[in-house]
Amino acid sequence: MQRDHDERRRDAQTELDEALSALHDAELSEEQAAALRARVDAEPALARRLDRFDAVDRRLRAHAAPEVSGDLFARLQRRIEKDRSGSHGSARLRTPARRLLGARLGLAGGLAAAAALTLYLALGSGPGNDPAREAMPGLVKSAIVPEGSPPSSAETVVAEREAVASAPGIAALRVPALDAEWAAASDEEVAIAMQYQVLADLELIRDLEMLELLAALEEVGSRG
Amino acid sequence: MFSGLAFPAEASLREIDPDAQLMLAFQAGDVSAFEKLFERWAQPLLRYLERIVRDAATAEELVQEAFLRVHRARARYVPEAKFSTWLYRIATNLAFNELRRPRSRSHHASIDDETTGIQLAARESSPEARAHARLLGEEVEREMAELPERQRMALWLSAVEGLSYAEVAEALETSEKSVKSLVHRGRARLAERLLDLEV
Repeated sequence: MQRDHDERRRDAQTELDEALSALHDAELSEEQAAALRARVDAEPALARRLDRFDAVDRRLRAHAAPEVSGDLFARLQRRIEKDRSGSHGSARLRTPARRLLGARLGLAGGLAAAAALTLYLALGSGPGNDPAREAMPGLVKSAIVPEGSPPSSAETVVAEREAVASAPGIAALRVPALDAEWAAASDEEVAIAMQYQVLADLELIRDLEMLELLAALEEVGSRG
Repeated sequence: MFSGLAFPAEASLREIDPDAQLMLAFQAGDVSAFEKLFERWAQPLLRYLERIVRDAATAEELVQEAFLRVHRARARYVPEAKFSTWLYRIATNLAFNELRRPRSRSHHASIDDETTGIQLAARESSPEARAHARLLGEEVEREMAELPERQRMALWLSAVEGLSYAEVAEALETSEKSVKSLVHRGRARLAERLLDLEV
């Protein structure tokens, strides 16, 4: 009870102090300001508090700020020029950069897709593979063993291969789609995208290694 | 960027904010308008940024960066808020980025905390009064540096740069209510420090 009372009192005190600060900044409405001013006139403690706020502001305003260097605008202009020529440079380099990107992504994507297909076909998709499939991280899981795909047989291998190749994770690695998407990007953006792509490829390969391990374990288990 | 406000607000800003007019002139191809904006705002911006990042050289780099952003954004500029509010918002975001950098320089030697004390002290009559004023100035500076970033920014923009709470809210991307509280808490803390020293 006493604690509640103390808290309410503190809140009211803070609210009043906040209002004084706002009065000092001329941020109260006319009516609010008039009412608070009347209170300040009647209560010396409030008047002292208001003076204290004023003293703080005066000290802040007296801060000796550094002067802008005389050549700052000239330096800014040089940066603007550099900025401009940088973007022109990107435009000139765009085509070779895109070609390089296409080649690298093509290689990375092709390798990843081939590895995924090989593993998928080697593992098969019978009921015995379900635990491994459940343990797979999202990208590999959807790319290699699409959800709801029927158990494979020799006759359906070709159809399954096509389904796998067009699965989201694999499709994302296809170069033409990426190339079109990034056609308007700057070289810096492309470079960043390439880094991410390489990381994504490494992640995929790491996941495939894990899958291989799980398959080996499963084989050992089925033999036992 | 600033876009999507109702037309009347935009129209009145075009008329009443000379900086918005300069920015629109720059947008229309008047390069000298950009230089005028720089002349008007580089110094206040430097003063603000130096208070926040506490390094004169870094603050100057950020001033340059802020104007570079303004230059890049000229084609997309729509005068929905005062130009200065927009500029302070850019500067605030740059300052936040700078403060988040792991190896952000913390303090500069060129303009030290003592200078404020000296400035105010010079106005006092007796040597004792001057020494005391200098001490108070130093302490306020020190306490200011200890304030949380947003309190420091809000208090500075309001108390020194003279922005309204609404403008500070725009610059800090927060509400006016929050600004009121930030300014008060910062100011109250500095006031307490002053009181401690005067007792």
